[in-house]
Amino acid sequence: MSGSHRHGGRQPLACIIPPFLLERMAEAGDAAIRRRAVVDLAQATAIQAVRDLVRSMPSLLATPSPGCCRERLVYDARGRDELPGRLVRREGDRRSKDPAVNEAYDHCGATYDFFRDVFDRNSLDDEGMSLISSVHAGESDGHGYQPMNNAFWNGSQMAYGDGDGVVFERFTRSLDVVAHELTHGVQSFTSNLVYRGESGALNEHFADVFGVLVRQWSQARAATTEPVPRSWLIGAELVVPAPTRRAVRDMQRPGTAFVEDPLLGTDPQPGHMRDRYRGSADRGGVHINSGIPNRAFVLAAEALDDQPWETAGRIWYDTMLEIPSRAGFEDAARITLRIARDDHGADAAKAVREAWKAVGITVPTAKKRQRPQTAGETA
Amino acid sequence: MKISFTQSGGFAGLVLSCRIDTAVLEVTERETVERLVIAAGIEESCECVSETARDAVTYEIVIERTTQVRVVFDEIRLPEEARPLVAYLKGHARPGGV
Repeated sequence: MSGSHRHGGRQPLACIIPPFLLERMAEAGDAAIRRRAVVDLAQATAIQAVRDLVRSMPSLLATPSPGCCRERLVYDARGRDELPGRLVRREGDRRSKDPAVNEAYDHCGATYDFFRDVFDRNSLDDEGMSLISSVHAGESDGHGYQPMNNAFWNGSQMAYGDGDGVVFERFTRSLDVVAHELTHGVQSFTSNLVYRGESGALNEHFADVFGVLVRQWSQARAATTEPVPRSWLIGAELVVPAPTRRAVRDMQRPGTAFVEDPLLGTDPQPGHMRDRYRGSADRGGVHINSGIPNRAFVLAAEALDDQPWETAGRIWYDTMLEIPSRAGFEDAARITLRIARDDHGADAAKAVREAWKAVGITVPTAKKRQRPQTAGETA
Repeated sequence: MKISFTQSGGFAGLVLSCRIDTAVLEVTERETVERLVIAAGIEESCECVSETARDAVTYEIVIERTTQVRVVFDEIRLPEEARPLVAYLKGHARPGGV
């Protein structure tokens, strides 16, 4: 496919040397160094311009669907890292013989339906963009290809690996994993939280929240008799069973999804601010510190007497739409509390405030938002 | 030469790491590592990660020789020539590093 590219656009050697260093090199006495620095500086400026443009206008990466409604496109990357690969199933096509294709298709459908039915949202961009998935994504080790042991959103589509079969099975197995990746897509058109530090952990947090809510909502919709026991695990179907692992994350009890596992170690997620990770790995702990707001969400949802996707889900969805891109945990707490109080009443506000307090974030009591006065009222 | 490697992120957010000191390796192993480092072309510190991707695995490599070089790539921006080195280091990485 002529439009395909490796994992969505790898640029070998397009590293970003700090601009100050390039500028210093551009003034060097050695002509060769000077020439190279000037070229690098021009390339760095061009790359930064593209980054800024994409960050401010994510619609550039969106593929509109023909009818501006649900349109799922599933591709087969055939074990390589050139995305998207070969188109194998599109909206309305009959089921494939390949379970990964059907899982990607069905789980994308469940996620689209959730956002449409619960929040009246039309796809990731709210304008019906196509949902593009590549299954059987591979990764190169320089000599050949291995099944990718991961799933990611590359800015315009999802990619799912088949796992190594030792720790992880294929990543399409979990509905909450697929919904997590698609929620990253929703965020790229809304808050677009910067993917580093606390704002990055919030980005991961919202992806987990709506990942788990899509699964809970789908299970409730499918249940014909007894209600399904509520689970706050992320990626339970993804891990190869072992006594030392239950899932990838546990939103209710962060830090317990896997314990002393010989291949995974112990789940590093904290559930309280006093234990937050302060290192540089994982872009400042975006998948680690998300345990703190995750636990706050579960506490709020469990304190309310309706389904998690109703009051708590609505508060968190509205927060995800308006939260600034560089927000931290305290900003998230303040916004959820304001929305809870203004739109859902005192009981909801109490549940949200106490949930954040339990994870070490205290927010002053929110004042009810004043309705703007009309000209007649001020006269 | 000493090499510190940390793999983090990805959907699962796992942190794996290893530290290799070529001075204590057997000759053939040391030559293998040195060949992979040269082939990787890591000569200057840089950070090269996708701004739009989410859940991509991140690799940090610190190479200490007479000077220290630190590079950070994610799996989307990892240069082809550095992949054999990363594959070798991943094979030695174990849980931990947080």
